[in-house]
Amino acid sequence: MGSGHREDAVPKLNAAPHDVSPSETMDASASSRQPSFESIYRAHVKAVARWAMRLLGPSHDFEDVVQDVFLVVRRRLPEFRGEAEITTWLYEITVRVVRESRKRARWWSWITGHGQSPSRGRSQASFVPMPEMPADPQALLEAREQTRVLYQVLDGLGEAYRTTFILFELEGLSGEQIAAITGTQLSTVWVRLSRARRKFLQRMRVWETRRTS
Amino acid sequence: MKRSPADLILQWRNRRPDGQEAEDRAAALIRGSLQPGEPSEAQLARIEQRLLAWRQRASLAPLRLRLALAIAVLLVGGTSVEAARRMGWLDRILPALSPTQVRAPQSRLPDRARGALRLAPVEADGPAPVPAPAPIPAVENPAAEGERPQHPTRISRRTAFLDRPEPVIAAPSEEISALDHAIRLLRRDHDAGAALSALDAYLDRYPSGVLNREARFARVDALLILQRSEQALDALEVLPLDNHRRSTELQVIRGELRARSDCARAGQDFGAVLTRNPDDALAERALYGRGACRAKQGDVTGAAEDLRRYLERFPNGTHAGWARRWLESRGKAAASGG
Repeated sequence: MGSGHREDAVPKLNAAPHDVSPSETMDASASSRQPSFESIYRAHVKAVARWAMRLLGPSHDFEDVVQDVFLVVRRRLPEFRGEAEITTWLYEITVRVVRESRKRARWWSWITGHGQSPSRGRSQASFVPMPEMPADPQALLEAREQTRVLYQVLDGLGEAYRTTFILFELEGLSGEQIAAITGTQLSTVWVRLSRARRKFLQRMRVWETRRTS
Repeated sequence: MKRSPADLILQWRNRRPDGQEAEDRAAALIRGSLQPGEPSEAQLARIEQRLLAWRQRASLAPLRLRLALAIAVLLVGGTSVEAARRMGWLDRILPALSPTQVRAPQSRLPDRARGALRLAPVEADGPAPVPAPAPIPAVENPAAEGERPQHPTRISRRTAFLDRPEPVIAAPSEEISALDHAIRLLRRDHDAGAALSALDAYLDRYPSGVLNREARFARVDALLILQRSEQALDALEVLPLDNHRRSTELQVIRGELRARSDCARAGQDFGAVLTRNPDDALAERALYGRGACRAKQGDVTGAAEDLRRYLERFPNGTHAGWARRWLESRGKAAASGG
Protein backbone atom coordinates (compact mmCIF):
# COMPACT_ATOMS: atom_id res chain seq x y z
CA MET A 1 0.00 0.00 0.00
CA GLY A 2 1.53 3.22 -1.03
CA SER A 3 1.72 6.14 1.23
CA GLY A 4 0.38 8.49 -1.33
CA HIS A 5 -3.36 8.72 -1.84
CA ARG A 6 -5.40 9.31 -4.89
CA GLU A 7 -6.98 12.68 -4.34
CA ASP A 8 -10.26 11.73 -5.95
CA ALA A 9 -10.63 8.76 -3.65
CA VAL A 10 -9.88 10.32 -0.35
CA PRO A 11 -13.12 11.09 1.40
CA LYS A 12 -13.30 12.42 4.89
CA LEU A 13 -13.96 9.72 7.38
CA ASN A 14 -17.08 10.03 9.46
CA ALA A 15 -16.10 11.00 12.91
CA ALA A 16 -19.18 9.44 14.41
CA PRO A 17 -18.16 5.79 14.67
CA HIS A 18 -14.69 6.67 15.89
CA ASP A 19 -15.49 9.48 18.26
CA VAL A 20 -12.37 11.30 17.27
CA SER A 21 -11.19 14.22 19.29
CA PRO A 22 -12.48 17.61 18.17
CA SER A 23 -8.95 18.70 17.48
CA GLU A 24 -8.97 16.36 14.51
CA THR A 25 -9.85 19.22 12.25
CA MET A 26 -7.01 21.37 13.39
CA ASP A 27 -4.24 19.75 11.50
CA ALA A 28 -3.07 19.23 8.01
CA SER A 29 -6.26 19.68 6.07
CA ALA A 30 -7.09 22.85 7.91
CA SER A 31 -3.90 24.58 7.05
CA SER A 32 -0.64 23.89 5.34
CA ARG A 33 1.07 24.00 8.72
CA GLN A 34 2.67 20.69 9.65
CA PRO A 35 0.94 19.28 12.72
CA SER A 36 3.22 18.34 15.54
CA PHE A 37 3.59 14.76 16.64
CA GLU A 38 2.41 15.60 20.12
CA SER A 39 -0.76 17.22 18.88
CA ILE A 40 -1.54 14.24 16.67
CA TYR A 41 -0.87 11.85 19.50
CA ARG A 42 -3.06 13.70 21.98
CA ALA A 43 -5.92 14.05 19.53
CA HIS A 44 -5.94 10.57 18.05
CA VAL A 45 -4.46 8.07 20.44
CA LYS A 46 -7.84 6.91 21.70
CA ALA A 47 -9.22 6.52 18.20
CA VAL A 48 -6.17 4.61 17.08
CA ALA A 49 -6.45 2.36 20.11
CA ARG A 50 -10.06 1.59 19.26
CA TRP A 51 -9.22 0.88 15.63
CA ALA A 52 -6.44 -1.41 16.74
CA MET A 53 -8.77 -3.25 19.11
CA ARG A 54 -11.37 -3.59 16.36
CA LEU A 55 -8.89 -4.92 13.84
CA LEU A 56 -7.10 -7.23 16.23
CA GLY A 57 -10.02 -8.62 18.20
CA PRO A 58 -10.55 -9.00 21.91
CA SER A 59 -7.80 -11.49 22.63
CA HIS A 60 -4.87 -9.56 21.23
CA ASP A 61 -2.58 -7.04 22.80
CA PHE A 62 -3.30 -3.67 21.29
CA GLU A 63 -0.78 -1.52 23.20
CA ASP A 64 2.12 -2.71 21.10
CA VAL A 65 0.20 -1.90 17.97
CA VAL A 66 -0.72 1.59 19.14
CA GLN A 67 2.87 2.24 20.05
CA ASP A 68 4.06 1.01 16.66
CA VAL A 69 1.46 3.14 14.90
CA PHE A 70 2.76 6.29 16.54
CA LEU A 71 6.35 5.32 15.89
CA VAL A 72 5.43 5.13 12.22
CA VAL A 73 3.58 8.43 12.50
CA ARG A 74 6.64 10.05 14.00
CA ARG A 75 8.89 8.71 11.27
CA ARG A 76 6.57 9.56 8.41
CA LEU A 77 5.26 12.84 9.69
CA PRO A 78 7.59 14.92 7.49
CA GLU A 79 6.10 13.16 4.46
CA PHE A 80 2.56 14.00 5.48
CA ARG A 81 1.46 16.84 3.24
CA GLY A 82 -2.15 17.02 4.29
CA GLU A 83 -3.34 15.64 0.97
CA ALA A 84 -5.40 13.09 2.88
CA GLU A 85 -7.48 13.54 5.98
CA ILE A 86 -5.28 12.87 8.96
CA THR A 87 -7.69 10.20 10.21
CA THR A 88 -7.43 8.42 6.88
CA TRP A 89 -3.66 8.56 7.12
CA LEU A 90 -3.72 7.22 10.67
CA TYR A 91 -6.21 4.53 9.76
CA GLU A 92 -4.01 3.46 6.87
CA ILE A 93 -1.01 3.18 9.18
CA THR A 94 -3.03 1.30 11.77
CA VAL A 95 -4.24 -1.21 9.21
CA ARG A 96 -0.70 -1.88 8.05
CA VAL A 97 0.70 -2.15 11.55
CA VAL A 98 -2.08 -4.53 12.57
CA ARG A 99 -1.40 -6.64 9.52
CA GLU A 100 2.29 -6.84 10.40
CA SER A 101 1.49 -7.60 14.01
CA ARG A 102 -0.82 -10.43 13.07
CA LYS A 103 1.78 -11.78 10.68
CA ARG A 104 4.35 -11.80 13.47
CA ALA A 105 1.86 -13.48 15.78
CA ARG A 106 1.20 -16.18 13.18
CA TRP A 107 4.92 -16.82 12.78
CA TRP A 108 5.35 -16.97 16.51
CA SER A 109 2.45 -19.35 16.81
CA TRP A 110 3.87 -21.50 14.03
CA ILE A 111 7.34 -21.59 15.57
CA THR A 112 6.34 -22.12 19.19
CA GLY A 113 3.10 -23.95 18.61
CA HIS A 114 1.12 -21.72 20.91
CA GLY A 115 -0.27 -18.27 21.44
CA GLN A 116 0.91 -14.82 20.59
CA SER A 117 4.45 -13.64 20.88
CA PRO A 118 5.24 -12.32 24.32
CA SER A 119 4.91 -8.57 24.29
CA ARG A 120 6.22 -6.00 26.65
CA GLY A 121 2.89 -4.68 27.77
CA ARG A 122 0.37 -7.44 27.41
CA SER A 123 -2.96 -5.75 27.68
CA GLN A 124 -6.25 -7.20 26.54
CA ALA A 125 -8.57 -4.99 24.60
CA SER A 126 -11.64 -3.85 26.44
CA PHE A 127 -14.78 -4.67 24.50
CA VAL A 128 -18.04 -3.22 25.74
CA PRO A 129 -21.69 -3.83 24.88
CA MET A 130 -23.40 -1.64 22.36
CA PRO A 131 -25.69 0.96 23.92
CA GLU A 132 -28.84 -0.80 22.77
CA MET A 133 -27.86 -4.09 24.41
CA PRO A 134 -29.41 -5.16 27.70
CA ALA A 135 -27.02 -4.64 30.57
CA ASP A 136 -27.62 -7.86 32.47
CA PRO A 137 -24.70 -10.22 33.09
CA GLN A 138 -26.26 -13.04 31.09
CA ALA A 139 -26.54 -10.86 28.01
CA LEU A 140 -23.00 -9.63 28.53
CA LEU A 141 -21.74 -13.19 28.73
CA GLU A 142 -23.55 -14.07 25.53
CA ALA A 143 -22.24 -10.99 23.78
CA ARG A 144 -18.72 -11.86 24.84
CA GLU A 145 -19.14 -15.34 23.45
CA GLN A 146 -20.57 -13.95 20.20
CA THR A 147 -17.60 -11.60 19.92
CA ARG A 148 -15.20 -14.47 20.38
CA VAL A 149 -17.00 -16.49 17.71
CA LEU A 150 -17.11 -13.51 15.37
CA TYR A 151 -13.34 -13.04 15.48
CA GLN A 152 -12.79 -16.78 15.34
CA VAL A 153 -14.73 -16.88 12.10
CA LEU A 154 -12.91 -13.79 10.84
CA ASP A 155 -9.52 -15.30 11.58
CA GLY A 156 -10.14 -17.85 8.86
CA LEU A 157 -10.25 -15.13 6.24
CA GLY A 158 -7.26 -13.91 4.32
CA GLU A 159 -5.75 -10.75 5.74
CA ALA A 160 -6.98 -8.45 2.99
CA TYR A 161 -10.48 -9.95 3.10
CA ARG A 162 -10.57 -9.82 6.87
CA THR A 163 -9.56 -6.16 6.93
CA THR A 164 -12.10 -5.22 4.28
CA PHE A 165 -14.85 -7.12 6.08
CA ILE A 166 -14.10 -5.52 9.44
CA LEU A 167 -13.87 -2.01 8.02
CA PHE A 168 -17.12 -2.36 6.11
CA GLU A 169 -19.29 -4.53 8.33
CA LEU A 170 -18.02 -3.71 11.81
CA GLU A 171 -16.62 -0.21 11.46
CA GLY A 172 -19.24 0.89 9.00
CA LEU A 173 -16.89 2.59 6.58
CA SER A 174 -17.87 3.14 2.98
CA GLY A 175 -16.18 1.47 0.05
CA GLU A 176 -14.45 4.70 -0.90
CA GLN A 177 -13.06 5.13 2.57
CA ILE A 178 -11.79 1.55 2.63
CA ALA A 179 -10.17 2.06 -0.76
CA ALA A 180 -8.40 5.14 0.55
CA ILE A 181 -7.24 3.38 3.69
CA THR A 182 -6.06 0.21 1.99
CA GLY A 183 -4.66 2.00 -1.05
CA THR A 184 -6.70 -0.02 -3.50
CA GLN A 185 -9.23 0.61 -6.22
CA LEU A 186 -12.86 0.82 -5.22
CA SER A 187 -13.66 -2.16 -7.43
CA THR A 188 -11.05 -4.17 -5.57
CA VAL A 189 -12.77 -3.32 -2.31
CA TRP A 190 -16.07 -4.70 -3.56
CA VAL A 191 -14.46 -7.84 -4.90
CA ARG A 192 -12.70 -8.41 -1.59
CA LEU A 193 -15.84 -7.72 0.38
CA SER A 194 -17.85 -10.15 -1.74
CA ARG A 195 -15.29 -12.92 -1.27
CA ALA A 196 -14.88 -12.11 2.40
CA ARG A 197 -18.61 -12.40 2.94
CA ARG A 198 -18.79 -15.71 1.11
CA LYS A 199 -15.92 -17.11 3.13
CA PHE A 200 -17.37 -15.70 6.34
CA LEU A 201 -20.71 -17.41 5.73
CA GLN A 202 -18.96 -20.71 4.98
CA ARG A 203 -17.04 -20.60 8.21
CA MET A 204 -20.07 -19.44 10.16
CA ARG A 205 -22.08 -22.42 8.88
CA VAL A 206 -19.29 -24.75 9.99
CA TRP A 207 -19.40 -23.19 13.43
CA GLU A 208 -23.21 -23.47 13.55
CA THR A 209 -23.01 -27.13 12.57
CA ARG A 210 -20.49 -27.83 15.31
CA ARG A 211 -22.58 -25.99 17.87
CA THR A 212 -25.78 -27.89 17.07
CA SER A 213 -24.01 -31.25 16.94
CA MET B 1 -29.51 -0.25 -16.25
CA LYS B 2 -26.35 -1.37 -14.57
CA ARG B 3 -26.22 -0.50 -10.91
CA SER B 4 -23.05 0.34 -9.07
CA PRO B 5 -21.80 -2.02 -6.35
CA ALA B 6 -22.44 0.65 -3.79
CA ASP B 7 -26.14 0.48 -4.58
CA LEU B 8 -26.10 -3.27 -4.28
CA ILE B 9 -24.06 -3.63 -1.15
CA LEU B 10 -25.83 -3.07 2.09
CA GLN B 11 -24.13 -3.52 5.38
CA TRP B 12 -25.33 -6.69 7.05
CA ARG B 13 -26.05 -4.94 10.28
CA ASN B 14 -28.83 -3.09 8.44
CA ARG B 15 -30.63 -6.25 7.37
CA ARG B 16 -33.99 -7.10 8.90
CA PRO B 17 -33.55 -8.60 12.37
CA ASP B 18 -36.14 -11.32 11.77
CA GLY B 19 -34.61 -12.76 8.60
CA GLN B 20 -33.68 -16.43 8.44
CA GLU B 21 -31.05 -16.42 5.73
CA ALA B 22 -27.40 -17.02 6.48
CA GLU B 23 -26.69 -13.34 5.94
CA ASP B 24 -29.32 -12.49 8.52
CA ARG B 25 -27.76 -14.84 11.03
CA ALA B 26 -24.35 -13.30 10.32
CA ALA B 27 -25.87 -9.86 10.86
CA ALA B 28 -27.28 -11.03 14.18
CA LEU B 29 -23.86 -12.30 15.16
CA ILE B 30 -22.34 -8.90 14.35
CA ARG B 31 -25.09 -6.98 16.10
CA GLY B 32 -24.84 -9.16 19.18
CA SER B 33 -21.11 -8.84 19.57
CA LEU B 34 -19.28 -6.31 21.71
CA GLN B 35 -17.50 -3.29 20.38
CA PRO B 36 -14.15 -1.84 21.39
CA GLY B 37 -14.35 0.46 24.35
CA GLU B 38 -12.22 3.31 25.51
CA PRO B 39 -8.69 2.39 26.45
CA SER B 40 -8.16 2.95 30.13
CA GLU B 41 -6.04 5.78 31.45
CA ALA B 42 -3.53 3.23 32.70
CA GLN B 43 -3.24 1.71 29.25
CA LEU B 44 -2.79 5.12 27.64
CA ALA B 45 -0.17 6.07 30.21
CA ARG B 46 1.70 2.85 29.49
CA ILE B 47 1.66 3.53 25.75
CA GLU B 48 2.89 7.08 26.28
CA GLN B 49 5.63 5.94 28.63
CA ARG B 50 6.86 3.34 26.17
CA LEU B 51 6.83 5.85 23.34
CA LEU B 52 8.92 8.27 25.38
CA ALA B 53 11.34 5.52 26.33
CA TRP B 54 11.63 4.51 22.71
CA ARG B 55 12.38 8.08 21.65
CA GLN B 56 15.17 8.26 24.18
CA ARG B 57 16.60 5.02 22.89
CA ALA B 58 16.13 6.16 19.32
CA SER B 59 18.27 9.24 19.89
CA LEU B 60 21.20 6.92 20.56
CA ALA B 61 20.37 4.65 17.67
CA PRO B 62 22.38 6.40 14.92
CA LEU B 63 25.53 6.33 17.02
CA ARG B 64 25.02 2.69 17.90
CA LEU B 65 24.28 1.91 14.29
CA ARG B 66 27.46 3.58 13.07
CA LEU B 67 29.50 1.87 15.74
CA ALA B 68 28.00 -1.51 14.95
CA LEU B 69 28.56 -0.88 11.24
CA ALA B 70 32.19 0.07 11.79
CA ILE B 71 32.79 -3.02 13.91
CA ALA B 72 31.10 -5.20 11.33
CA VAL B 73 33.19 -3.72 8.52
CA LEU B 74 36.37 -4.20 10.52
CA LEU B 75 35.47 -7.77 11.37
CA VAL B 76 34.52 -8.67 7.83
CA GLY B 77 37.54 -6.90 6.38
CA GLY B 78 39.93 -8.43 8.86
CA THR B 79 38.48 -11.87 8.38
CA SER B 80 38.71 -11.52 4.61
CA VAL B 81 42.33 -10.40 4.71
CA GLU B 82 43.25 -13.15 7.15
CA ALA B 83 41.44 -15.72 5.04
CA ALA B 84 43.20 -14.45 1.92
CA ARG B 85 46.50 -14.60 3.74
CA ARG B 86 45.87 -18.14 4.95
CA MET B 87 44.79 -19.26 1.51
CA GLY B 88 47.90 -17.70 0.06
CA TRP B 89 45.92 -15.37 -2.18
CA LEU B 90 47.80 -12.35 -0.95
CA ASP B 91 50.99 -13.79 -2.34
CA ARG B 92 49.37 -13.93 -5.72
CA ILE B 93 47.52 -10.66 -5.52
CA LEU B 94 50.32 -8.44 -4.27
CA PRO B 95 52.88 -9.36 -6.92
CA ALA B 96 50.21 -9.02 -9.56
CA LEU B 97 49.69 -5.43 -8.45
CA SER B 98 53.35 -4.54 -8.84
CA PRO B 99 54.25 -2.65 -12.00
CA THR B 100 56.71 -5.28 -13.18
CA GLN B 101 54.13 -8.07 -13.07
CA VAL B 102 56.98 -10.31 -11.96
CA ARG B 103 57.33 -11.71 -8.51
CA ALA B 104 60.13 -10.14 -6.70
CA PRO B 105 62.60 -12.50 -5.07
CA GLN B 106 61.48 -13.53 -1.64
CA SER B 107 63.18 -11.42 0.92
CA ARG B 108 63.45 -14.10 3.56
CA LEU B 109 65.45 -16.57 1.56
CA PRO B 110 68.78 -14.90 2.15
CA ASP B 111 68.13 -15.32 5.85
CA ARG B 112 69.91 -18.59 5.31
CA ALA B 113 72.96 -16.45 5.44
CA ARG B 114 72.34 -15.50 9.02
CA GLY B 115 74.85 -18.10 10.03
CA ALA B 116 77.47 -16.34 7.96
CA LEU B 117 78.69 -14.56 11.04
CA ARG B 118 79.46 -16.75 14.02
CA LEU B 119 81.50 -16.01 17.06
CA ALA B 120 83.72 -18.57 18.61
CA PRO B 121 82.89 -19.62 22.16
CA VAL B 122 84.41 -17.25 24.61
CA GLU B 123 86.85 -18.39 27.18
CA ALA B 124 86.76 -16.90 30.60
CA ASP B 125 90.10 -15.21 30.44
CA GLY B 126 90.74 -15.53 26.77
CA PRO B 127 90.84 -12.93 24.10
CA ALA B 128 87.79 -11.26 22.71
CA PRO B 129 85.62 -13.52 20.57
CA VAL B 130 86.35 -13.56 16.91
CA PRO B 131 83.70 -13.96 14.24
CA ALA B 132 84.15 -17.13 12.29
CA PRO B 133 82.44 -18.06 9.06
CA ALA B 134 79.86 -20.77 9.16
CA PRO B 135 78.44 -22.79 6.30
CA ILE B 136 75.26 -21.50 4.75
CA PRO B 137 72.65 -24.23 4.82
CA ALA B 138 70.70 -25.16 1.75
CA VAL B 139 67.19 -23.91 1.19
CA GLU B 140 65.75 -27.41 1.19
CA ASN B 141 66.47 -27.89 4.85
CA PRO B 142 65.52 -24.79 6.76
CA ALA B 143 65.60 -26.57 10.11
CA ALA B 144 69.26 -27.25 9.63
CA GLU B 145 70.21 -23.66 9.40
CA GLY B 146 71.71 -21.79 12.28
CA GLU B 147 70.73 -22.39 15.86
CA ARG B 148 67.26 -21.03 15.61
CA PRO B 149 64.67 -22.35 13.14
CA GLN B 150 63.37 -19.42 11.18
CA HIS B 151 59.64 -20.01 11.09
CA PRO B 152 59.52 -22.71 8.47
CA THR B 153 55.76 -22.30 8.12
CA ARG B 154 56.20 -18.65 7.21
CA ILE B 155 58.82 -19.48 4.66
CA SER B 156 56.79 -22.27 3.15
CA ARG B 157 53.74 -20.04 3.05
CA ARG B 158 55.64 -17.35 1.25
CA THR B 159 56.95 -19.75 -1.32
CA ALA B 160 53.90 -21.98 -1.46
CA PHE B 161 52.44 -20.03 -4.35
CA LEU B 162 55.30 -21.16 -6.53
CA ASP B 163 54.00 -24.73 -6.31
CA ARG B 164 50.58 -23.82 -7.48
CA PRO B 165 49.55 -23.75 -11.14
CA GLU B 166 50.25 -20.43 -12.67
CA PRO B 167 47.34 -18.18 -13.53
CA VAL B 168 46.84 -17.43 -17.16
CA ILE B 169 48.28 -14.01 -17.82
CA ALA B 170 49.35 -12.08 -20.84
CA ALA B 171 52.65 -13.32 -22.34
CA PRO B 172 55.49 -11.46 -20.64
CA SER B 173 58.37 -10.06 -22.54
CA GLU B 174 61.42 -12.19 -23.25
CA GLU B 175 63.45 -10.38 -20.62
CA ILE B 176 60.88 -10.93 -17.93
CA SER B 177 60.50 -14.55 -18.95
CA ALA B 178 64.23 -15.09 -18.65
CA LEU B 179 64.39 -13.62 -15.16
CA ASP B 180 61.22 -15.40 -14.13
CA HIS B 181 62.75 -18.69 -15.23
CA ALA B 182 65.90 -18.05 -13.23
CA ILE B 183 63.98 -17.09 -10.11
CA ARG B 184 61.85 -20.19 -10.42
CA LEU B 185 64.96 -22.32 -10.54
CA LEU B 186 66.13 -20.64 -7.38
CA ARG B 187 62.93 -20.48 -5.35
CA ARG B 188 60.83 -23.34 -6.55
CA ASP B 189 63.26 -25.91 -7.83
CA HIS B 190 65.87 -25.03 -5.22
CA ASP B 191 68.52 -25.45 -7.88
CA ALA B 192 70.84 -22.63 -6.96
CA GLY B 193 73.50 -23.70 -9.46
CA ALA B 194 71.13 -23.67 -12.41
CA ALA B 195 69.61 -20.45 -11.14
CA LEU B 196 73.04 -18.83 -10.95
CA SER B 197 73.75 -19.83 -14.53
CA ALA B 198 70.42 -18.52 -15.67
CA LEU B 199 70.94 -15.28 -13.81
CA ASP B 200 74.39 -14.82 -15.26
CA ALA B 201 72.96 -15.46 -18.71
CA TYR B 202 70.26 -12.93 -18.05
CA LEU B 203 72.74 -10.30 -16.84
CA ASP B 204 74.95 -10.92 -19.84
CA ARG B 205 72.07 -10.59 -22.22
CA TYR B 206 70.37 -7.67 -20.53
CA PRO B 207 73.12 -5.71 -18.82
CA SER B 208 70.84 -2.69 -18.60
CA GLY B 209 67.58 -4.54 -18.21
CA VAL B 210 64.77 -3.02 -16.25
CA LEU B 211 65.06 -5.83 -13.76
CA ASN B 212 68.82 -5.79 -13.55
CA ARG B 213 68.81 -5.01 -9.87
CA GLU B 214 66.37 -7.76 -9.04
CA ALA B 215 68.51 -10.20 -10.96
CA ARG B 216 71.64 -9.15 -9.08
CA PHE B 217 69.90 -9.55 -5.75
CA ALA B 218 68.75 -13.02 -6.77
CA ARG B 219 72.31 -13.80 -7.82
CA VAL B 220 73.53 -12.91 -4.35
CA ASP B 221 70.94 -15.28 -2.92
CA ALA B 222 72.10 -18.06 -5.20
CA LEU B 223 75.75 -17.50 -4.27
CA LEU B 224 74.92 -17.59 -0.59
CA ILE B 225 73.01 -20.81 -0.98
CA LEU B 226 75.98 -22.26 -2.84
CA GLN B 227 78.14 -21.11 0.08
CA ARG B 228 80.24 -18.99 -2.23
CA SER B 229 80.43 -16.26 0.35
CA GLU B 230 83.34 -14.35 -1.14
CA GLN B 231 81.63 -14.05 -4.49
CA ALA B 232 78.45 -13.07 -2.73
CA LEU B 233 80.34 -10.36 -0.89
CA ASP B 234 81.95 -9.22 -4.14
CA ALA B 235 78.52 -8.98 -5.69
CA LEU B 236 77.17 -7.06 -2.72
CA GLU B 237 80.08 -4.67 -2.70
CA VAL B 238 79.10 -3.35 -6.10
CA LEU B 239 75.38 -3.44 -5.56
CA PRO B 240 73.66 -0.20 -4.64
CA LEU B 241 71.69 -1.04 -1.53
CA ASP B 242 69.62 2.08 -1.26
CA ASN B 243 65.94 2.56 -2.02
CA HIS B 244 65.00 -1.05 -2.21
CA ARG B 245 62.76 -3.09 -0.01
CA ARG B 246 65.62 -5.54 0.61
CA SER B 247 68.22 -2.87 1.30
CA THR B 248 68.31 -3.39 5.05
CA GLU B 249 68.38 -7.14 4.84
CA LEU B 250 71.16 -7.18 2.25
CA GLN B 251 73.16 -4.68 4.22
CA VAL B 252 73.01 -6.99 7.23
CA ILE B 253 74.19 -9.86 5.04
CA ARG B 254 76.98 -7.71 3.64
CA GLY B 255 77.99 -6.74 7.15
CA GLU B 256 78.09 -10.37 8.19
CA LEU B 257 80.20 -11.25 5.17
CA ARG B 258 82.50 -8.29 5.70
CA ALA B 259 82.93 -9.15 9.37
CA ARG B 260 85.11 -12.10 8.44
CA SER B 261 87.86 -9.87 7.18
CA ASP B 262 86.97 -6.25 7.71
CA CYS B 263 85.16 -5.56 10.96
CA ALA B 264 85.43 -1.82 10.55
CA ARG B 265 83.34 -1.75 7.39
CA ALA B 266 81.07 -4.47 8.75
CA GLY B 267 80.41 -2.28 11.76
CA GLN B 268 79.42 0.55 9.42
CA ASP B 269 76.85 -1.72 7.79
CA PHE B 270 75.45 -2.87 11.11
CA GLY B 271 75.40 0.67 12.42
CA ALA B 272 73.57 1.93 9.33
CA VAL B 273 71.03 -0.84 9.68
CA LEU B 274 70.41 -0.10 13.35
CA THR B 275 69.63 3.53 12.61
CA ARG B 276 66.73 2.45 10.40
CA ASN B 277 64.73 0.65 13.10
CA PRO B 278 64.66 -2.66 11.29
CA ASP B 279 62.42 -5.53 12.23
CA ASP B 280 63.39 -7.75 15.15
CA ALA B 281 65.13 -10.44 13.13
CA LEU B 282 67.41 -7.99 11.36
CA ALA B 283 67.93 -5.87 14.47
CA GLU B 284 69.06 -8.94 16.38
CA ARG B 285 71.58 -9.85 13.73
CA ALA B 286 72.85 -6.29 13.35
CA LEU B 287 73.17 -5.69 17.08
CA TYR B 288 74.99 -8.91 17.67
CA GLY B 289 77.18 -8.35 14.59
CA ARG B 290 78.25 -4.89 15.68
CA GLY B 291 78.88 -6.03 19.23
CA ALA B 292 80.97 -8.94 18.05
CA CYS B 293 82.91 -6.75 15.65
CA ARG B 294 83.60 -4.18 18.34
CA ALA B 295 84.78 -6.96 20.61
CA LYS B 296 87.05 -8.23 17.90
CA GLN B 297 88.44 -4.73 17.37
CA GLY B 298 89.11 -4.36 21.09
CA ASP B 299 86.38 -1.83 21.68
CA VAL B 300 85.30 -3.46 24.92
CA THR B 301 83.04 -0.62 26.03
CA GLY B 302 81.21 -0.43 22.72
CA ALA B 303 80.92 -4.21 22.53
CA ALA B 304 79.62 -4.41 26.09
CA GLU B 305 77.05 -1.72 25.35
CA ASP B 306 75.83 -3.49 22.20
CA LEU B 307 75.68 -6.87 23.85
CA ARG B 308 73.80 -5.51 26.85
CA ARG B 309 71.31 -3.94 24.50
CA TYR B 310 71.11 -7.24 22.68
CA LEU B 311 70.33 -9.12 25.89
CA GLU B 312 67.76 -6.55 26.95
CA ARG B 313 65.95 -6.79 23.68
CA PHE B 314 66.51 -10.46 22.88
CA PRO B 315 67.03 -12.26 26.18
CA ASN B 316 66.36 -15.58 24.45
CA GLY B 317 68.06 -14.63 21.20
CA THR B 318 70.25 -16.92 19.18
CA HIS B 319 73.43 -15.42 20.60
CA ALA B 320 72.17 -14.60 24.08
CA GLY B 321 74.21 -17.32 25.71
CA TRP B 322 77.41 -16.17 24.11
CA ALA B 323 76.69 -12.54 24.92
CA ARG B 324 76.14 -13.35 28.59
CA ARG B 325 79.33 -15.35 28.81
CA TRP B 326 81.30 -12.62 27.12
CA LEU B 327 79.94 -9.94 29.43
CA GLU B 328 80.65 -12.10 32.49
CA SER B 329 84.20 -12.70 31.33
CA ARG B 330 84.71 -8.97 30.81
CA GLY B 331 83.27 -8.31 34.26
CA LYS B 332 85.68 -10.78 35.84
CA ALA B 333 88.57 -9.36 33.89
CA ALA B 334 87.66 -5.86 35.04
CA ALA B 335 87.35 -7.03 38.65
CA SER B 336 90.69 -8.81 38.64
CA GLY B 337 92.31 -5.87 36.84
CA GLY B 338 90.79 -3.34 39.26
